[in-house]
Amino acid sequence: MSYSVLEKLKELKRIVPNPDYSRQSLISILRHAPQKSLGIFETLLFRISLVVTVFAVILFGAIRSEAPLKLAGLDPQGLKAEAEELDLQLRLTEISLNQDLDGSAITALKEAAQNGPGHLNTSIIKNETPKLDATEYSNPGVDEALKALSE
Amino acid sequence: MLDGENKLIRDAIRGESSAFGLLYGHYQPQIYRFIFLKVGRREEAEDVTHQVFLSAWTNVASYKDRGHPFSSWLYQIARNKVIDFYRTQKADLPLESAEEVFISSAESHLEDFETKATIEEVQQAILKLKPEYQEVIILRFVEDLSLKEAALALGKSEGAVKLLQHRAVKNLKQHLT
Repeated sequence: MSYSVLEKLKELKRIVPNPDYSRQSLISILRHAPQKSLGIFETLLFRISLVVTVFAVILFGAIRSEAPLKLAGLDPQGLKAEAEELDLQLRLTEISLNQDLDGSAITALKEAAQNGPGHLNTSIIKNETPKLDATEYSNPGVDEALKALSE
Repeated sequence: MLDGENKLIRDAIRGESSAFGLLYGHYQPQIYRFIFLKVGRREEAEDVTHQVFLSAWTNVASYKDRGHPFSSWLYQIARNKVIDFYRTQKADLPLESAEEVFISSAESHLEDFETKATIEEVQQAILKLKPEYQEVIILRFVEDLSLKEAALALGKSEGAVKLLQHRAVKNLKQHLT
């Protein structure tokens, strides 16, 4: 750069702010409170607590995945026995229901074989319809099976 | 750099206003000059400078010394405030008369007059430059910042500043002759 331009630029360094303005500005600025930052101790404490929390969460997760949740007042052996008993009862009621249904089906087939197609006669069906009661239970064994299941 | 600057900064971060006052006293004139040469008017330069130091004081806790001098941090705030100023102010405000410019004490009235005339001439030439050329001229040739300091203040690499400087000087010469 030529000397004259450099010299001219150096002259700009003589620009200064008005001293009265500078004083007033500083007073006004210092009336404001600076935002507080965390000190070294607080920052360290925060970081340690964060690490401990993360570690505890990971540890808790690992323990839970290894062993099922154990609660006081919960008897796993009693629960297992109860579950097995329930399964057994369920099977017994199922067999009983199947037997009843099998009996009904055999009777119906027998009647159909003996009477021939007569049971499909529309006049017979018409005569029998009023005698049918839709609300009447045809198989009390189903009720018993449901009752046994709910107990 | 101010003597014991690191301690002053630490004290200012702890909320000691006297420490910030010393930093203000040292850096405010150069930040004011930087802003004045970019906005061209004394009143606006005073307002923007006030905003810069207010922002620096309220956010001093966020300043982290990572090899960046405190002045670079202040210049970065100043650059942002000037950008905000141009974004919000009406364009084409007339330039301040040289008579209004405060200059450091001169030997005589004649010298005072000559200085103000030169300041007006160079200031007008600088204002015609692109903002990044203005900044590199002010930091490198008015404030005598090193290439590294200017690079930190402008957020650019030293190589980029060198290149900008070359172009800025070339442009300035055209406006001065």
